[in-house]
Amino acid sequence: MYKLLIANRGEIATRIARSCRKLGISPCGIYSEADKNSLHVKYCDEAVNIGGMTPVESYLCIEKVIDAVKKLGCDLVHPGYGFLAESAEFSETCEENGITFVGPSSKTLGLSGDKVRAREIASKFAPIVEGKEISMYDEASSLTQIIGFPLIIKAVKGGGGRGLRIVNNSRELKNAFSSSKNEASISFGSDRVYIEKYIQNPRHIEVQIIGDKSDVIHLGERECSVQRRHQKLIEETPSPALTPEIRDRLTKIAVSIAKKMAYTNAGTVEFLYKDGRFYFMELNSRIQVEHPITEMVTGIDIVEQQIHVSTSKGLTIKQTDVKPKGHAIECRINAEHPVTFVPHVGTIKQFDPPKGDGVRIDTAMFAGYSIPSFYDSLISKLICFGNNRNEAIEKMMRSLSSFRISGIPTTIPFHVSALRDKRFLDGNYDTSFVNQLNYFSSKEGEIAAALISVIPKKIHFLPKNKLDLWNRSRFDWSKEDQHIDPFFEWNK
Amino acid sequence: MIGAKKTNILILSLSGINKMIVVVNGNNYDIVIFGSKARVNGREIEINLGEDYITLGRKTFHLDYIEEGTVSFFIINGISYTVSRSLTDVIESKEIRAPIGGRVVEVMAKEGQEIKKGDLLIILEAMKMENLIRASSAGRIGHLLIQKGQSVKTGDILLILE
Repeated sequence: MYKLLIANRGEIATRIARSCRKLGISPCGIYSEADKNSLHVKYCDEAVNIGGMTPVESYLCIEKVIDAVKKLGCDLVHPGYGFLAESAEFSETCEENGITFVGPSSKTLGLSGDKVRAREIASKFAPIVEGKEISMYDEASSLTQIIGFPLIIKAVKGGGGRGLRIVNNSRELKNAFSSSKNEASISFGSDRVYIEKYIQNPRHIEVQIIGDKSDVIHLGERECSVQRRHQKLIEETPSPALTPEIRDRLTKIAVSIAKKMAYTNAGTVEFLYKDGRFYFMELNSRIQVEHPITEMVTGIDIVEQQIHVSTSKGLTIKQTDVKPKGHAIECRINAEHPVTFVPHVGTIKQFDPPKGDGVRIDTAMFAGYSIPSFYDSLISKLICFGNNRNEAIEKMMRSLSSFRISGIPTTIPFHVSALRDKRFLDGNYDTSFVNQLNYFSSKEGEIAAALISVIPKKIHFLPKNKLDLWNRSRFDWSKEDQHIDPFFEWNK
Repeated sequence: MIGAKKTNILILSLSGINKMIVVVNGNNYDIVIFGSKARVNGREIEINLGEDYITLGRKTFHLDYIEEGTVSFFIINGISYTVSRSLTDVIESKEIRAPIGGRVVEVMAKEGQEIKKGDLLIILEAMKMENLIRASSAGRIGHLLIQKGQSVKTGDILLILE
């Protein structure tokens, strides 16, 4: 029996554990000091406390993770997403220690992690946005003569929006260039940056690929244009923007790029799409947060296939087995203010997810759980499947309004509003969607809110007490020293 | 004396019930609360507030998140609400309402009558008890809206002071 160490936390750790059990593999875990009470620990057969609070002290520490693998005697390690998922160094350390890394080889990670090299390879198959790597400010300045403004500066080794700068004119260029280099250096240990023409308000469409030593196949695309601060909030598949012809071209291009890189395991080829034209953006060499929507329409367990690829069994599916049907949507429910998106820590009082046919919840939350401040704010993924897009949207609407999470604010009100937005309903939206969103309100809910705000909070307990008094019909109030005014509290 | 009616004395504050104006998601709501009822923009609603829910009539609203401040923020049934209450919105109302539903047994008060604190105004029979409704301070009765023998529900206006 194989043992697999899940080098991650939260919902993805529980998700990976599920596929392990399905395959008869023993899921093992690690947890930080801050994650002692986390659900992912309970999903594992064995788990090691690796100490520390911050990611750097815990889940990002290669040494500690490798120690845990050895201590538990694991054969495989699955990095999930984030943390060490795309670290060539971690993949290499695993290789050196005879541990199977469930992901691409360190060589592939080195390639996909270098965005300039990935761009070069991709440019042989797909249009890329005009631009190049820039090391000196003077070069940047002369590049603007060719590509103009606005432009975007990105870290070569970057990700997650760090190091990213959008520059609208030449006055902003100098500062943006040096601050991007600084941030890149701090975040990724490399100050290499590249500059591209900035495509304003594109759609963001990605293709799920998975490969083994002999083949690379695709599992269709995902539309991920609903974003704020370059982070996705809603994803759906298939993309309402693509015609069958463009879809066919896009997926073929994605497969060609991956094949050229000798890519193995699961990955995502990301594209920008605007005015009928698409551009290669980057290749993400990990399982994506939004992978469940692809699983819903294809019926393929991506984590299971990742493990098959890594255990040299290879893919158990062929391209012809991939027959997506229906429509799936994912809403990322974050512990954030739904309008400002400011993350919020706190204790979850009630956690009562919706259930039903075609409703999937990926989460590690439970009532009474205290969200630590050290990690991301994603608390639950709500995924809904429908036979068509309308059915999926309707199911999502119903599921969102019956999802009870209390004690902390969540992005549920955002999702409720987004799914009622005409642009979303028409399938006609881009990355500017969130900025222009009108929040949905209900008249009855407004009345409920108005009433709650005026009823003094001590009243919460008062009506019951008073009712008790009133119900005691034999109670002789005249004998009371004090006369009771039932409206006293309200009148104060 | 088993079976005899007990007497319950209720002294109602003559300051009446405050009327409040609350702005929710940009819309104004004019609210009066009395007993288990509220009047919102002139419409009466039966309310019941629990620790994490409120019912309006038969509908339940889940209070997912409450953040109170000068501008409050609520999430109710998965929808967000921004609520503000102006501090000057307290308008003194001179209505006296039935604290409990029942039958009016006796009406001592008369329109135009000057009353002083402690005056017996109305006797209301409810739950086998006679509720003596007395004035808690002085004033003058403007309108009397009930008659002897009439049944009243909780929150019904009994009289209006000038």
